[in-house]
Amino acid sequence: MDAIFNYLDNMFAHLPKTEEVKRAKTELGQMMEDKYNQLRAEGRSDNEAVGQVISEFGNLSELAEELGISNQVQQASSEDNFVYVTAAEGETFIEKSKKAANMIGGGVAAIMLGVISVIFFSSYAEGIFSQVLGGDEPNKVYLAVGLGLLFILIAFAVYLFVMTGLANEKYKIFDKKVVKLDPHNKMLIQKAKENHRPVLLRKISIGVGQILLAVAALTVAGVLFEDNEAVLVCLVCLLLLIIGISVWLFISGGAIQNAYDKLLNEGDYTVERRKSESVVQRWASPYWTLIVVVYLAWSFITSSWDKTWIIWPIAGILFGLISAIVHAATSNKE
Amino acid sequence: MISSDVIRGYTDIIILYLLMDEPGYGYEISRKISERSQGLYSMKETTLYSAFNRLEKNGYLRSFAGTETGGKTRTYYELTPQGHTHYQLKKDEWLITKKVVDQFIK
Repeated sequence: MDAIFNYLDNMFAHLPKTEEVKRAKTELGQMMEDKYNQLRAEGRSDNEAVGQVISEFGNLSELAEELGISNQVQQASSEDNFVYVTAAEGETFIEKSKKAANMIGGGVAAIMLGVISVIFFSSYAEGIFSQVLGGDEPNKVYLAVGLGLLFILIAFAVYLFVMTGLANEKYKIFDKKVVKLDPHNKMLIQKAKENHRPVLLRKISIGVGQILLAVAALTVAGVLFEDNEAVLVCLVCLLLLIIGISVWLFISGGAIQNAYDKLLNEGDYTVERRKSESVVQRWASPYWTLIVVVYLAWSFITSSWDKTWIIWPIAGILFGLISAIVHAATSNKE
Repeated sequence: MISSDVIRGYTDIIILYLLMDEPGYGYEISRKISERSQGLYSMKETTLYSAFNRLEKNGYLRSFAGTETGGKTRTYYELTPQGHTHYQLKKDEWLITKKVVDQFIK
C-alpha cells in the first residue's frame, strides 16, 4: 500500500504544488487506493495488487494540459535531467556502494588506528609506562615508531579512498541527475531499502551505545586512576579505537542508505535537494580550502596549536547552517 | 486491445453515461467501465481524472465531497443539466460517425 503512495509522491515530486495539482494527486490517490483494496478483497497478494495498480495508472503527461503544467512535465521528462537505471544496474550500484562504504569506513578506522599509535608510542617514549612495566627509560625512538605507523596507516587510508573514488567514478551521475526506474524495479528497491532499515538502526545504536559506554568508563576510570597515567593513556586509546569502529558502522550504514535514496530520489536526493546540493557543492571546496588556510596561518603565526583546532568544529557547524539555509532557499523558490 | 487514440473522443460519452442516473466516484466509474465493456477496455486513472477535470471545467459535471456508508470521504461527480445536453450531442455525433464508418466495413 505504501508503495502506491510513494509512487504517486514521486510522480508528483517535480510538479508545482498548485491547488489543482494537489487535488489531482488526492483524487488519483483515492482511485488507486480503492482499486488496491478491491484487488486485495479479490484475494490478490500485496505485491500483485500494487503492481497492477501502478501499471494501470497511466501517464501524467496526459493530465499536464488540463492542469496547466505541460511545461514542467515536459521539462522533467527531458533526457537532460534524468538517468534511466535498469534492474541490473541498480543492483550493481547497491553492491558497489556497500563495498565502497566498507573501504571508506576501513580507511577512517585506519587513520584512527594511526592516531592511537601516535598517542600510545609518544606516551611510551616519555616513559609513562616504565612505572608499570619497569625497565625502559624515556626514549624518543618510540615516538618515531608511532609517527611511522601513523604515516603508513594514512597512506593506506588514502589508497583506499582513491581506489574507491576511481571505482565509483561513473556513479557520480546519480548525485545530480534524477533517477528513473520502472515501477516494478522501483518496488524491489523500496523493499530492499525497508529491509536495510533495521540494519542501519542497529549499526547506529551499537555505534552510539559503545561510544557512550566508553566515555562513561573513561570518566569513571579518570576518577579511580587519577594518578596512573599509563591506565589513562590505554583507556584513551581504547576510546579512540571504539570511536573508529563506530565511525565505520555509521559510514557503512549511511552510505548504503544513501545509495538507496539516490536510486529512489528520496532523502537527501529528492529533485529539489539535488538542485540545491549542486549549489552547496559549488562553494563547498573554496570554503574548506579557505578554512584550511586560516587554520594553518593562525596556527603557525601564533604557535598555539592547542587552541587553533577550535576552528574545525566552528567551521563544521557553520557549514551545516549555511547548507540548511541554501536548502531552505532553493525549496522556497519551487 | 483498443488504442487510446481511437477511444479518446468517446471517454466523455462513457463517463457521462455512467453518471446519468446517480452520482459516482472515481474508482466506481473505472470499475463500471471495465465491467460494462466486459474487460475489453479499462480506463487508466490519469485518463479518467483528466476527463473529470475537463468535464467539470466545461460545466458538464459538478463535484462534491461525499461520504460512503463505510465512512470514507471521496469526491463524487454528478451530471449538470448542461451535461445531459452534452451527452445528447455526443450521442448524435457518435450515431452519425458509426453510420459513416460502417459504410467502409465489410
